[in-house]
Amino acid sequence: MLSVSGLQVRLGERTALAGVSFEVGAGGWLALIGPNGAGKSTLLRAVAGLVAHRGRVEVDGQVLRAGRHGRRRALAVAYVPQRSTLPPTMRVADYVLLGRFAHHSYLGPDTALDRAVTARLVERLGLAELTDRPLAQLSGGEAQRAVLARALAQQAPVLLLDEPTTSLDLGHSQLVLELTDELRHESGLTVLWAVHDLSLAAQYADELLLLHQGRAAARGTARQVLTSGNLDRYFGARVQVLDGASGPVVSPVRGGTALAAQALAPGGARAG
Amino acid sequence: MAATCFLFVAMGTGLVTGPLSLSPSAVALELLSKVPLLHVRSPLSPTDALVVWQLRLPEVVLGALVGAVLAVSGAAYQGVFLNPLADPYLLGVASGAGLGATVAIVSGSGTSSPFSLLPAAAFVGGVLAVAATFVLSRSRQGRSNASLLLAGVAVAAFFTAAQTFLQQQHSGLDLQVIYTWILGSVSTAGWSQVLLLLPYACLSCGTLLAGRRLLDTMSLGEEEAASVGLSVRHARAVVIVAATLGTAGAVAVSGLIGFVGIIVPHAVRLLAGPSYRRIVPLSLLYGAGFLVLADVLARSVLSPQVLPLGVVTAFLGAPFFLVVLRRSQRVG
Repeated sequence: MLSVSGLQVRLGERTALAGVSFEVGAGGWLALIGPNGAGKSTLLRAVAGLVAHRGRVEVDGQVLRAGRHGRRRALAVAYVPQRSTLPPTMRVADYVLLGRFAHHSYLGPDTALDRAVTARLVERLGLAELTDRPLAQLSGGEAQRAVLARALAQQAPVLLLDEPTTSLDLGHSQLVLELTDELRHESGLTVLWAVHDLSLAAQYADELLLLHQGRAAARGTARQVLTSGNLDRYFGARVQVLDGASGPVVSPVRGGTALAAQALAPGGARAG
Repeated sequence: MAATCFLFVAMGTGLVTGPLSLSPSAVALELLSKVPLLHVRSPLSPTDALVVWQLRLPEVVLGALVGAVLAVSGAAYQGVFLNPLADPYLLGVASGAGLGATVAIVSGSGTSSPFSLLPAAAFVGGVLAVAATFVLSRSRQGRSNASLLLAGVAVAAFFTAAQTFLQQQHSGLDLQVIYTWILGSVSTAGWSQVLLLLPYACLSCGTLLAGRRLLDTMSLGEEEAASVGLSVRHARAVVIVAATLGTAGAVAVSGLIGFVGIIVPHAVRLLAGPSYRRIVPLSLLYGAGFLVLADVLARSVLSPQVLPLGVVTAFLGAPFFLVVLRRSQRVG
């Protein structure tokens, strides 16, 4: 279980997060949505301990303190960034093994358990044929599965995903998300997922948290959050919310939007 | 396995090569005769045995230690700085040790044996230079690889200038002593140099061998390494301290032997792949064997004249490296 309360982050002069609180139960999947600059990525980075923050982050009742406890944090939360650094010549098997870093002593060797966990994940994510391949030779979909395998190798109860499907086509996006869904049902993994595609968010997540200017603006099921009123108000978007087979489907509608009107008005442009 | 054989063959060659010709089997029996419980009788005369134990074995062991330290430190630096051109002298060890050696020779010029002070002074100078680089590279945004490299360049320039100034001010000084030291050598009589280097070599190689996973993890970049639980800053400091102590020790007893720290890890990388899990232990074995062989050549090519070891490592290493590079390109 992940519990966040009063999370605040300042990036230079700007307040990126102004006191966000929420909880996600074990095995739950919460999607973070919101316009650009709303604080989705910052929230994930704060929970991962990669950016200085105030407020409480708790995983299974254990408070994660900011600062020097990188290894303890890595045992509690695993993080898949928006763009992963893939050392081009590193083999897939060695890369996935890096996720085990926090599980042994600082200068200790890899254990049989490390190799067993890694091998199982590689198999599970369909990378078994590719273990000796250098990362540079993977396709986008394969690379994203390798990153996911590395994060899952941490065996942390919480998985943070920052737009993991942005560079993937629809089929590969679905593959990654379906795998994540199976894994959370199998092992009670708690998933926190920053995502732009609102229809995908509605399909996979249990609940949605709408962030706006560093604050939680709405939280609930897809039907409760994805209303045309919310999308107009917080995204400045004109949309039609349709009733799909597996949740609401957000479909943009052409015509003058609030954001466009704001940008075109004299002196009204705002960097976002 | 192949690497271990290579090291043994290199050390064996080192033991049987020299102005006094000794047969390999005789040397082997002499070595075995000192192993308890084997009861092997040595065919060598006491004088020949003395040559083996007090001249050749210490030189071979010293060469192996220096080669191992330089190759492992070079591999570690390349991993920390994510830069294939990094070598163990990158952060100023060489110029600091050079200044230390010069100071020792200048201040000891009146006494009979400036060499007794030289290793200690070179060691202190090398460590001080890297410490200065490390302290000065800290800016308001913290310490990046780029600021470390730039501080290293500045510190090296400063120490080299100080060394040149000292040499110029003491023009009566025997510059030959300094240059002989700079060009590198593992010639030694007895075990004192080996004992001097041994603790630093063990500490340095031991830490870097145990920490080779840190180097792989660091290649994820600062943020992702942090997300799997590794503080890059902390790991970088551990690696730099370990590599510096080893390198400064090596430089203190053997002078500046270039090329080993770059050539050996790269050759290993081309043969065994990019993971530091394999690169670090293989660099240790091949580095040790390579330097022992280079020393054999330095002693035997123009015998009885002894070539500077740094010259031989470059002569030997560059063509070898190009061959490996070409072969790997054909395969890949």
